[in-house]
Amino acid sequence: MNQTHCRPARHWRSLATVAGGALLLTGLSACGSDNPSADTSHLPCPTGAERVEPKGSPVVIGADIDTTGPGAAFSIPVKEMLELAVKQLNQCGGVAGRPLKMVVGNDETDATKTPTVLRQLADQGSKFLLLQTGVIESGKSTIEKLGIPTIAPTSVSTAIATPPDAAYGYVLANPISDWSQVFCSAFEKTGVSTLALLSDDTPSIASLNGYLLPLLKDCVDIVAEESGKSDASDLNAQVARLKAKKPDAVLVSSVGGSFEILAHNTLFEQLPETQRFSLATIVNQPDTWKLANAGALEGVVGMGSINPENEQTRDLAKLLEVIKGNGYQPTAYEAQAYDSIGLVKAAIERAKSEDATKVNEALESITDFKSSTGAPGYVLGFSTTDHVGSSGLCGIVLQEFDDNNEPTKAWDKFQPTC
Amino acid sequence: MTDVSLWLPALEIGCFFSLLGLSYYLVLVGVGFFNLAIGAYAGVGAVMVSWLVVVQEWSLWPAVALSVATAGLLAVATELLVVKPVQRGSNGSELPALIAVVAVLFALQQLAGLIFGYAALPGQVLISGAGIQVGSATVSTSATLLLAMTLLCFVGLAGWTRLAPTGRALRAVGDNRTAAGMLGIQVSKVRLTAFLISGLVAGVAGILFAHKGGVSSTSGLEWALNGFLAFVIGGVATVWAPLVGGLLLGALHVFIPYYFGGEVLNYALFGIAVVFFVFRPEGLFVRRVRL
Repeated sequence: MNQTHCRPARHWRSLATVAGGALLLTGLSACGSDNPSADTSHLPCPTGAERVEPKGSPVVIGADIDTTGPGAAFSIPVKEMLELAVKQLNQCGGVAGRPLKMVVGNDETDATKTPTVLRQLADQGSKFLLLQTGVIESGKSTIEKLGIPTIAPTSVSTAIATPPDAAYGYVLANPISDWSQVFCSAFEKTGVSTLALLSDDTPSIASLNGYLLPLLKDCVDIVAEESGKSDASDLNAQVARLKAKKPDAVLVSSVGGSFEILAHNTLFEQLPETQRFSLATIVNQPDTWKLANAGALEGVVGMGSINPENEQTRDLAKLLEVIKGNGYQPTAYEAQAYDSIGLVKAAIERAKSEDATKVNEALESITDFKSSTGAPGYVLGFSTTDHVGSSGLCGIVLQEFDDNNEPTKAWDKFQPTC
Repeated sequence: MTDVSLWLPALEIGCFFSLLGLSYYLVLVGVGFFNLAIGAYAGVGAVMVSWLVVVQEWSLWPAVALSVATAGLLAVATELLVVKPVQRGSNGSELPALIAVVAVLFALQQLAGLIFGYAALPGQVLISGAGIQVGSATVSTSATLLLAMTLLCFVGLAGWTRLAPTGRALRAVGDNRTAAGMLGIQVSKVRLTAFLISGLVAGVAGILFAHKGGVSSTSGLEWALNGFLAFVIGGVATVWAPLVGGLLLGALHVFIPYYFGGEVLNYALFGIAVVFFVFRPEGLFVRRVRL
């Protein structure tokens, strides 16, 4: 009798132990961080800022960052940059003389969790929100209900910044419509009339291609479209099919990571002479460059946003050198994260208040924020009717990879102008 | 179908899936159980080597040795801490243990992300060299090593299960655990051996394959599914069955995208899995019993 009662109990205890262990590990991983142990107690201040210690109660901002989940690879470096930017700000005057405190939540790239995380951040007193997640659109209605100004630092989707329900949402990057203009101009300039496309199979890329390809078809003949699984182990078959169409150029459209590198490794082997283009992901994921075979990325032109001639970019590079080492070149994601903190400061100081409505109005009145992205002199700006910060095509920089598989130079055949 | 540059990756992928299938085979034959955490052992082994070499700047071979050993120990830990207690608690029922090892798979992936980071890392080239020219294609030294190790593992384990006392005990326990126990075979020890060897094989497979497209903490799930499918296609009649299943699956992975486009692959693999589950659940090779 006892045995029949005990066995199910033991069984459930065992299962509960396993499930509990899995949950514990999942939870622990949320605390994981790649923060380097470099000394950040004396960070260089931005040009024009003085080293002054802020005083008083902190201004709290909240950041929903998916440090676990499918978007983690993109978001962890952004989180590190945001934390570094807050540290720098607090060593260089703070926000209106007060320190800035960033509280962080994690929606695990899970659209069902984003609203809850945003509400938790608001409950912790956040006067401003940053939304860095692979499921940005899932936060849109919550942002509107909370009425707190929110920037999505690296989003190329303008969903949270365009009506309806977009009174408090902002994005900084150039919209995808700008990408097609830049690509078309580059194709025209370099004599590309036929293009082959190699994409991963993620919903994000399917959605992006659905918007981008019809625009590209206005300027170029897309002779082949191939796709592979985002975690594919081999793309030889897809590339062989592209090769058969003899395109002038190949565009790799992916969320980056190992798919992007595998694509370029394979294209380099099978189509070494064909010009390759890529979206913004590859130039913004330095950790993936080392996955490429020797020289496999040479000549690849990516849709970047970094120009070392930009004074703000140079300031940012100087800051990042403290933790990344000398000669480090910032990525667009890092620059956009850095600009987000700069915009928080600018808006709150301009509003002279923490009131969300006033801060939102102040943010809408910013028209000339000097950006760390884009060409020298490139600015971000907003208005009551436009919450997309980009002020022109020169926010995009076409970056070319060198023979060390690094995007060290602006492509010399074409650059967009404002 | 005559393009060597397509057959080579097909062979390489096939060998990898075969080794994973062999891992499944060992646990199924020895324990009578599908250990879906095998993909995680391969993933942890591969990502650990890369992390030790790239991030921690270890020498290659100590990193490989430690990572393979870790994969084996993880498999042993799965048996001691999860499968055995859950099976005992559920009166030998398969489903709770199966669910538990799926939890182990995800837990190990999360743990790998926590320790080794979430970014993809480059797979390590164990032996560098110019490679061998075959027609218009070059067989890299990494591919050659994977092919050689696959052959070695299958020949070695075929000989072991047929000739060595522990190998024969493994088959006996798999055939009838109770009878094997009554014959004096130490069932627990045999089960542990099956888990250990399957973990080692999976670890080696992951490390040898990672050079193709890099490895991340989440690689294990996809690998677990493909290894399982290779095992399902081949069957359990002979130790060589996962090799055939894996090679066939590798060819499908390359030639389906080539002839029908990459977007068709998932649907085609799903269809093939359904066909085998419904019409040929025992796989291509059927064990023949003389009456």
